[in-house]
Amino acid sequence: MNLGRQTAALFKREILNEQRQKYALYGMLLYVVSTVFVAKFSFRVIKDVPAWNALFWIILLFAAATGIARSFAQETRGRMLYLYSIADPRAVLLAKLLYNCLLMCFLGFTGLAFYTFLVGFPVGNTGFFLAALFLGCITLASAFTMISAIASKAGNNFTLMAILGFPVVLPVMLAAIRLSKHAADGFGWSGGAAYFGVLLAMNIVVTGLAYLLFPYLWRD
Amino acid sequence: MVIVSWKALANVFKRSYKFFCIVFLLIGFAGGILVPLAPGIISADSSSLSTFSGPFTVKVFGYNTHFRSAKSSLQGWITNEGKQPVNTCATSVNVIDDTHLELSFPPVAPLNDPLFGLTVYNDADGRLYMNSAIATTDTVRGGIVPACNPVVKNEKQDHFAFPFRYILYESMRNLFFHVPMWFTMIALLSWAVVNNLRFLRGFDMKYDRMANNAITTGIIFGLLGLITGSLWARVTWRAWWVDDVKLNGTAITMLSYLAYLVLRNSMEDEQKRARISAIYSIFAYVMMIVLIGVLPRLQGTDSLHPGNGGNPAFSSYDLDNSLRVFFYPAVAGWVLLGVWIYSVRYRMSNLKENLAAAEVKSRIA
Amino acid sequence: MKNAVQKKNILSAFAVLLSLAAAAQPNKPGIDEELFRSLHGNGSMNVVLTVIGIILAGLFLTLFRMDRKLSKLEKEIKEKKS
Repeated sequence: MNLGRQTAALFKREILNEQRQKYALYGMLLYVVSTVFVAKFSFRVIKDVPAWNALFWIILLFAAATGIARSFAQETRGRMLYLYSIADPRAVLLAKLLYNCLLMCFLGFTGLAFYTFLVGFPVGNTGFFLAALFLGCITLASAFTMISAIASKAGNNFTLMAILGFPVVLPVMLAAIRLSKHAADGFGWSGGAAYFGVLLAMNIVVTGLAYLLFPYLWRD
Repeated sequence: MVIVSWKALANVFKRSYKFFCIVFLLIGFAGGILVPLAPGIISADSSSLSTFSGPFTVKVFGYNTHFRSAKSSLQGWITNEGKQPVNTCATSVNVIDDTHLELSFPPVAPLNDPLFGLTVYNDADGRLYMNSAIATTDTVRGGIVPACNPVVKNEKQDHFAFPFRYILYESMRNLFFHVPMWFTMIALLSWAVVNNLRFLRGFDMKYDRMANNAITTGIIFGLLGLITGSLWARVTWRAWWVDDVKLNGTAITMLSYLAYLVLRNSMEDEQKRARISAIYSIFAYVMMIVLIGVLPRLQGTDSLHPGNGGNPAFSSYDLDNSLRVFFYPAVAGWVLLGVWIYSVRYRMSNLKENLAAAEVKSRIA
Repeated sequence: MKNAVQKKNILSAFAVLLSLAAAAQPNKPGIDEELFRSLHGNGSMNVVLTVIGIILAGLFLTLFRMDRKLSKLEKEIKEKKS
């Protein structure tokens, strides 16, 4: 399959790019760690589960906004044009999407590790919580990827990214927070299934929309 | 087989919608303001915290009631709910005026539940019931219950009226003014998305103008809905802003459409602007559907709005038939008014476009 | 000199704002409580009237803004013709 092979090649290119400019990845990690530190010093220990959970997702939200805003902004115009002339735009999008999901999961799980280390881990059902975190991270990543593409086309500044992104990402955040709180309270699949389904559905819808609409976005 | 072409249908709509808009709005306004509210009990104050220690009196404050004019048939009784509800009739009824009443009761010990419902009956108003009107602090259970069987001739008063709801009272009429704002907003935003898709199919700038004007008009109605809703919430729920999924959802929707305006103004090139804002608008619309259509349904009891349960003022009421008669015309009227405003704005933007095109032409020539 | 005066003005404005905020505390029956009571008047009919008023005001504001836009457009067209 041509699209698949192109996507794989472009995905490899994303990873290579990241390896070439490691400081960006380290920068993002540092960002997450320092926000966790800020949380630590403002709260000491958070015993309240909903607050603990919400704060963690807010940290992730800002990490996603700053981290994924880069994904289209870092490409120069010439490089973008070159990419589009040799590859299907949908492959470009899919590669970015995959890469951002990977990045978000990496940030999410390392962030959780630091957060646990410094602030605590009052979670009842760990397995379900991790599943919720995984699903939330990829949904956040796919929503922000599309927003980042739109923002990069329109003047390319972080303010625009935040203005456009936060309202659109909010339903994702709400569902993710509810789901992970459900898991943190120690409940399992029964009862959490509805939120899991909504989050999954949102992921599919957002990815589908991005896949369908992106070809209209890139042409200049 | 009759084949009605889409265009002919659209033409019929275009020619007649203003007329229908006015007629429906008039129906909505007239019905919404003029139809009276059914009689009901606003409050009932018992003279004593205990119902068993001695006889007690209950002051009843009615609304739109005819206590004095239908004095001859007036009865009052309290009902202790349980497996078998037991009625205790008032020993004497003291009518102060049409809306004020004093009922005297003999000592009563509840069977099980410490709450009593209060019923006032007369032939003109029918049966007026107030849920958990009287609470007792007594610990005595199943004592003396002076039971009685009151006679009820008319269950309901016979003129056309809107149902009486505790706490809401007349503010229920906002159903014809506040609620249609949302319907109008959703209708206009849906029309905008249809046109966004049409734009992306052929890149005709006409559809971009349609979508953009539909969105700006939709935002106006959305903001009006938010402001009026906030005011209504202050009166029924005692807070300007309640933490309600629907309310938060619409506020966020407004934010995302305001972001749409910012996005649109941040670009100069018209084609590019149209394309990118169309994509964002589709995105925002889908998220809005999730936010106000799907998420509130999942939470169930969290929402104070009707259709989601959890709110005493609304849960018992699925649009009453008397409300329905005016609600649908009111919604149709407001939506058509939105369409009217949208169409004027759209035609203005067309004019502006023509002017700009003529200028370009003259400069080339 | 002028700067100092400005600073003073800003400070006093800030003080007024603070006192307003203090007056608006929910536990004291303030402006808010009064508004609540008056809206509840006439069996809560006042809310309905206010809501209608707000909607009409909003729509008239829209109409007014559209009118102004249209006048500007008309002027442009006139200039074009002459």
